[in-house]
Amino acid sequence: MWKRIKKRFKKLLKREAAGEKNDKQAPKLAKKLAKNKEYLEQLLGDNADISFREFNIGGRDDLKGMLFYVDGMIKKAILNEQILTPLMHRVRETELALELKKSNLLQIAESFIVSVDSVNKTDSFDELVLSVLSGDTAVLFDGAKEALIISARGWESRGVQEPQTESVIRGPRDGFTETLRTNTSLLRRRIRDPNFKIEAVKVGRRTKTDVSLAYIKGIANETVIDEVKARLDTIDTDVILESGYIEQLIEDSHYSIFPQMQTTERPDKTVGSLLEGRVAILVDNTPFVLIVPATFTQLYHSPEDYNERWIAMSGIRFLRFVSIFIATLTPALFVALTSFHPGMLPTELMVSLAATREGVPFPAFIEAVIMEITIELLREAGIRLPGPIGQTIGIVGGLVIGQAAVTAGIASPVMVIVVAITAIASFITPDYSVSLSIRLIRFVYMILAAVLGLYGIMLGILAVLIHLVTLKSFGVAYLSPLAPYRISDWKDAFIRGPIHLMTKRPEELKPTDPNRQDIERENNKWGEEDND
Amino acid sequence: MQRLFKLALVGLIIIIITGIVSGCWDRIEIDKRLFVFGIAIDEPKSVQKKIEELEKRMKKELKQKGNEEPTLSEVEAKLAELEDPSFEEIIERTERRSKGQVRLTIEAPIVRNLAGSDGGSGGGEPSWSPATIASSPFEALRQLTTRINRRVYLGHLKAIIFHEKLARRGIQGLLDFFERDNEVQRRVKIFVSKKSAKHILIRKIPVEQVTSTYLTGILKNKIETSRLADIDIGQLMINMHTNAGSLVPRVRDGGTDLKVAGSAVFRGDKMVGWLGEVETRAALWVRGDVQGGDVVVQDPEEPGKETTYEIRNAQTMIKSRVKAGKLIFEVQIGTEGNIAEVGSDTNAMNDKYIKAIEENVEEHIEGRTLDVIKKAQQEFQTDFFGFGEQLRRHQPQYWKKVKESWHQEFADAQVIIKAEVNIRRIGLVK
Repeated sequence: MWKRIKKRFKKLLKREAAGEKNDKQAPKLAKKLAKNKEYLEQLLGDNADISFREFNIGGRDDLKGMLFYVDGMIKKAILNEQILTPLMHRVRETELALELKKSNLLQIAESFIVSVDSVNKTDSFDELVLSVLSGDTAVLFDGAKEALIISARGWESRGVQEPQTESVIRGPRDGFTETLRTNTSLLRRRIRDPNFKIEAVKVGRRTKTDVSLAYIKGIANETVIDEVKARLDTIDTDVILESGYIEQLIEDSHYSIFPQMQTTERPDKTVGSLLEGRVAILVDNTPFVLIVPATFTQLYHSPEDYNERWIAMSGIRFLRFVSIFIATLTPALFVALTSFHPGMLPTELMVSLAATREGVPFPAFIEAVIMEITIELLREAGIRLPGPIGQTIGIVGGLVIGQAAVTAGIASPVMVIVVAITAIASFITPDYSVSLSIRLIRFVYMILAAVLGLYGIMLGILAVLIHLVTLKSFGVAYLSPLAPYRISDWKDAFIRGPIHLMTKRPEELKPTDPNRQDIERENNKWGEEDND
Repeated sequence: MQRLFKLALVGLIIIIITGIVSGCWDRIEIDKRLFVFGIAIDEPKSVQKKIEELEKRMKKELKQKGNEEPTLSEVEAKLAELEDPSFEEIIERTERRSKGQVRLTIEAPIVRNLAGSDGGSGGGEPSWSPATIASSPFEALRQLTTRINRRVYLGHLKAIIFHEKLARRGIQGLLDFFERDNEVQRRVKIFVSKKSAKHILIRKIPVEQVTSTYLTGILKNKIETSRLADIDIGQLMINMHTNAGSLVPRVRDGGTDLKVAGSAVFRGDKMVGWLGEVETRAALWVRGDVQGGDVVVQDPEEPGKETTYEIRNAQTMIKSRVKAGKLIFEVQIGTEGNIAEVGSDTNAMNDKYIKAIEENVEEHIEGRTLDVIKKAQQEFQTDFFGFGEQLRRHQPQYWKKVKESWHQEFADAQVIIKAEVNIRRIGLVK
């Protein structure tokens, strides 16, 4: 442990030193506009979408300026009306026109002429270019060693829509989009706490992707925040296209089959996690937000659990946990029971199973593998195909697996039921990443069942449990509150306790402020008060 | 990284080895097994008898052909022609062993015809009963595999029927395999048949496709009549090893049905005699195993007519004490129930009447139980009531002394029966 921290620390030091060196060598803007333009043109001139627009200020020949932007990433109306028009024409109608000189041009333009909300100054080419490539507009003036960076970003983007992967019946319908700023606004609208922090980082050598770290100061554990920052800092790759890249680069165990972070498209889910003391990682260009630390039980929670009343939702949540076992074990159990332990089946069931299997040419294991692979093929085909064709695939698949395989004598009818139940159970999983792991584990269990029967299944379960209890996500045990055993967290693990009793945040996250509510409301007393 | 590769390699080796070394032990597909639901164990016809029978048949055939006085050599020649495999087997076996043979019949369902729901079936025999003769049940089962293409599986065995003759000789050796084998469940039911057990097993009953299921189904009806005492192989083996007495249900071929009622009395592993249906219930009163049933008594108002008491529940308490060197058991039987039928035209809603019936029922119970206890003490000298267990629990010191000769000890014990009957309901009409 100490060694690792030391190593990381050394790395950090090295990087900082390297950064300072870079700063010294970083090219600065020159006073002459022509020189700056030459530099920029050399860097970016051969790009079709990069525009340089030179103009004269206030109709005077000696005062020159230049706009530098990426076409398609800016709002042209702002550019024309708030920057170009005032600089070129309107400035002549004011008294400022007399004061304008080469030396104070930048100063006056920033303070009096350019009427855009967000304006920054920079003297570094690196920063200038990065801003422009991010969608900002740069205004360079002849004679100024700095340039104005005006934020007038605007590009085609998807609006806020209902999330496709996590729909709910009761609950907000908005989902994250591909624009980071929209996403942060969706969070900010829900938390009006000044302690809600959104920190920005840039990741990716070439993509320079904006990544934001969202947490609530005073709730989230500081060590977790620091750990997330430190891990983000270690990322050294040239491309980040999706939050999955970051997930795979900073997760605890790269060789585990289970996802150690929660991904979600839903702002309400994210906010709920933030208020539990977790940290969210938002990545530009993807609607999927990472939530850390994640526990296994949390991956089986849906935001709807909290929106509906607790008794019904506890039942449904319990059902989801049952579905884990159905989705992973049913085909394996079928293979084990029919091939190894027919004595464990009730006699009548055994008779009908044996009768349906009569005439099936394959052993139960091969039969199960054929059917499971078929349904996985169908599922994959359905995902990749456009909607209408996907439906056709569903019908064809249903007929093929359901009817034809049985009549052709390739599979027994019971196997069709087993496969169908397994598929349905794996669809219940709210988190797509977990359902992928479970789909894969199913095949391992089937092999174990075919080789060693129930004994093999037991060994498999033990192996997975051993793996799960050793797994950690940002210092939090993956299987908590099961192991380590924390009874107080069970109120929101396998069931969803009544909200008025959930006075504490999950203990497993070691939140700085563990209290959600100060009073534990016994029963609603307001009815009685009215009577008094 | 290297550690990881090492780990992966070890994992791979384990997976390969488990696959190869285990050889998928025990893996037999469900449709490749032959499930045995019932087993009948008989004494085979004596070899001499069988040979005589065959010779008679041959003679008859020869006579029909015109040979009035066939010589012995001619008959033998005819016999050789017959090529009866079972016959040859018998001869061969007789030469090897002359005693301790069993004829074992299994009842195996033909699942294709049983399941019924799937199209095309329904017709055809629901079960199949191959039989063989061998010197022990295990040998017989192994011998059967020469006649069956599937693997015989005993995990779903439901019933074992013994022929009386074998039961009287002792079933220890016959049950040992079923006790030792890991497939056989402990809840297999045991029956004893007076006549051929095979014929019980192959009797086709229209309502139930498999005879073994039919038999075990009847056992569940004991709460309706209490005329039978069921026992499973686990309990019987415990009794066998502790030399305790047991009641094993008796099964009888009723021509179109099978009747399970009454019981065979076992002392240790040997059958010592029969109890009738009513006697069996009397024994169950003492054991506290009566769960329901009917008691028909004289109607107190109109002698000659009969009134029926329906048992709803019953408990038995046994107290033991030793007085002047004599063992005394006090049995208190308490039962609650209804009036099920009134034979006379009496208003049953009448305290006196109900009291009188209660007394009659008490008398009936006491009389019958005393009879059966007398029979157990004098005729069988076997304690199948559980008095010994009662003594072991409450007077362990005394039990240790009499343990070895318990059945003789029991025969000399005094048993006092006291019944208490409470009628709670008289039905919907007066």
